[in-house]
This record gives sequence, C-alpha cells and structure tokens, in this order.
Amino acid sequence: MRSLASNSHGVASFCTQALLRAAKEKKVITDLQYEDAIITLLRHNYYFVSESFETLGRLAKSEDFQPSEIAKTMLRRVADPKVDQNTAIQIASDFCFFIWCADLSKAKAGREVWLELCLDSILSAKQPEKLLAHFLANLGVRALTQPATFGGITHWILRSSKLTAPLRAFFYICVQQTITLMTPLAKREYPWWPKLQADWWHMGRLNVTLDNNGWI
Amino acid sequence: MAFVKAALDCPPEVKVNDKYRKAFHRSLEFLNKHPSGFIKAIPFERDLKSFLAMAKARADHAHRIDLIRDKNLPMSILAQQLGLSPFHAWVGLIGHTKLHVHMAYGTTQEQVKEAETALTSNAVCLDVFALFTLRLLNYLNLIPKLYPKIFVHTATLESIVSNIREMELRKTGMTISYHEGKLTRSEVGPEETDQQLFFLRDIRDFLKSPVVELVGLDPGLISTADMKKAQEIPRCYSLRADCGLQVASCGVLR
Repeated sequence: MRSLASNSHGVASFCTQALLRAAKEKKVITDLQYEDAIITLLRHNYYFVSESFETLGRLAKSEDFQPSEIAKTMLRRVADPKVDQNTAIQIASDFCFFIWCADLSKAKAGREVWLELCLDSILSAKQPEKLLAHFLANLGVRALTQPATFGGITHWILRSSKLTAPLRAFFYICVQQTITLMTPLAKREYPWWPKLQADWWHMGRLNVTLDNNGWI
Repeated sequence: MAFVKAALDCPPEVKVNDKYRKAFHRSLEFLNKHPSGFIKAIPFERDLKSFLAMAKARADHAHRIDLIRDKNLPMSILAQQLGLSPFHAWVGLIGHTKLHVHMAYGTTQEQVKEAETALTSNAVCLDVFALFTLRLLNYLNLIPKLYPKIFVHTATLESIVSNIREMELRKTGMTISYHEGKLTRSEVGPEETDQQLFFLRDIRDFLKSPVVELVGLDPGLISTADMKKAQEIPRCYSLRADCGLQVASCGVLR
C-alpha cells in the first residue's frame, strides 16, 4: 500500500515506529513507554527497529544487567553492513558510557561483560580500526564533562588483550588524539570550568606514563 | 460451497439427519468434480505417496518464498503465496527463526522523513500489519490521540472477522507439513486459540469503534494498472510490511 500510495499518488507514509516517535514527541507516551515498545518489537522479531542507547540501557536494566540474546543481537549490529555504522557505533559508545556510569552493585553481570560484547562487535567488523576511531570520537564527546570515565573505558580496552599489537598501538594513538581534541573543546564549551580542561590534559600525561611503563 | 464449508466446520457432537447428510455428500461430490478445484480429494495409498508429494511441493514452495522474503518481499504477498491470512503470516513471522517483520529500510533520511510525516499528519490510513503491531504493543488507543481521522480498508475488517469466525469454529487446529524429509505435525491448542481470538477481537472492536472510518476502493477512481492489481487482491492490499499511511488525499483510497 505504501509503494502504491507513494509512487502513484505522492502520498507520504510512515512505519509504526515513526508513529511511536510522534507519540513520544507529543507526550502521549513517556520515554520509558517508548523504549519498552521498541524492546517488545525487537523481542517479536521486528527488523530494522532503530534503537538508541537508551533502548539498550533500558533493556539491560530491566534484565538486571544480564546480557540477553536480544541485547547481544543489538550490539552485534555494529558489524552488520546493512546498518548505518555511524549510528551503530554511536549507540555502542554511548552504551559503554552508560554501562560504566551505571550502578551495577546488584547486577548479575559486571560491566566488563558488556564492554567485552561491545568490543567483540567492533572487532568483528570488516574495518575495526575505522570503527574504533569513530568509537573514541563519540565517546570523547559523550564523556566531555567526565574525563575519568573516558579514561576508565579506554584503559580497560587497552588492558583487555583483545586488541592485536598493531591495533592496540593504533587505538592508543587514537585515544591520545581524542584527548588532544577534547582538551581545547572542554575549554571552549566550559570556560568557567578550568579544572575540566586540566583533567583532560592530565589524562593524556597519565596515559604516556602508563604506556611507557607497560601498565596499559 | 458455503453449505459444505459449514458442514465441515461443524463440531463432531452436532447430529445431522440423513436428508442433510446426503445433501452434503452430493455437494461435496459436485465440488470435487468441479473444474475450479475448490475441493480436491487426496488419494490415501499405503505409502502415503500422494499425500507426501503434496506436502513436499508445499514445503518447496514455502522455501522458495522464504528466499524471496529475505529480500524484503512484502508480507501480504508472502501471505497470499502461502495461502495464509495476513494474521497467520504475521504470527508465523514474529516467531520465525530466520525471517523478520521488516519495520523500515533503516536509513537515517527515511527515519527523519517518516517521523516528520507522522508528526504533521492529520489523517492516517492503517494497514492490517500496522494494526497487528499496535495491538501487540497494546497501543491501539494511541492512534485516535494522534490523528483526528483514521481510515482503514474494509477488506482489513473482513480479514479480521474471517479469522475470528474460523477460530471460533475450530478451537484447536492441526497442521501437517514436510520438513527435511519428514512429515511433521504441529497443533494449536485451545489456549493459544483463545489468546489469538482475544487479540483479534480487540482489533475488530477498534475497527468498529466510531473513531475509525472504514473505506473501500471506488472502481471509478482506479486508473493505474497497479491500483487495478490491488483491487484484485483486496485481502492482501498492503504492499509493505508494517506500515501506517498518511492520507493526503482521501480520494485516493475511497
């Protein structure tokens, strides 16, 4: 019907998810209700349900941070060539940030389980180095006000032994480049918060020390 | 034909007197010989050769359709090709291990455009799969809150009502299919049927509510070959999975 309407009569159409988005926008349903609806659709084999990191976060929370098959499928989309990789990698980086900051004291699985899943998905892609660079750029912006979180996640990845030696070296350079970009960005965005810029700069210095001593 | 169908649908405890029994057999015999092939007798040999051949042919056909489905074959076409109602095709897809219900093509531009359309529309025409999705989410009540005018094709209501009637008559069902060289039997119990009935009745009640305007195709407005084709398959008029359709010009669908 949509093809007919569009091709023969110039009538615009939309999918049910767009309707849900409109309902959320018009405050007919709450953000949580929207995320739950998306999760229901994903659970019922709906495909190309574009989710956000909020959907993944809601799913992880509702399952006591135990990675379910559906969560794994969502994270594996990073390597799916049919999916827009820029969006997928942004979701992955935002989700890593969310997991790192979440309260997992009562969780069934630790944050490292989730980070491993994210990293495995990125590494299973055709050009992981390209995705890792995007991942860091997104993570840097996401963690602009929390450089310690950026440091925590990137240190975990560098120590995880999942990266090959050349890929690890590439990742380390990208981390340092991201820090170099975030330091002036923090100054520009938060001129009244000089400590933030200093924290980013110290993070770069700390990484050099850690790397020189083989601690990361 | 209706008489034979009604007789076949009768529960076993219904007693039929000889006069009607003979009339039923005559009708059955007539339809069996009719060139339309509405009813076809399957010869039951000892080795079930004919029956197996039929089941295998159907499985092969379904497999070919599955392959096309992977390339975004519309659900309604899938349903039609497999001789299923849209509801049964949808139920099959939401539980399938390999196939999916395609929501959208997934590009960012498409999503932005669709979201804009959904936000700015005043009238909406819903297809049968959009109704199934919204009922699955328990969000049928959302539509009147978002759109003052809601149009649904009469064929959609007919399809839903037909499914309900069929399920009310047969609370249980059995399917024999062919899978990897073996005949497999699957049964639908009364509890599952009741759940499906509940699901479909909710949609029927929504369609019959005053917020929905049921519309059909006006033959006078059918100009293109595609639209003529659409009229030929009124039960499966939706050409893409899970869609709502904003109606800019109601004349298109009236």
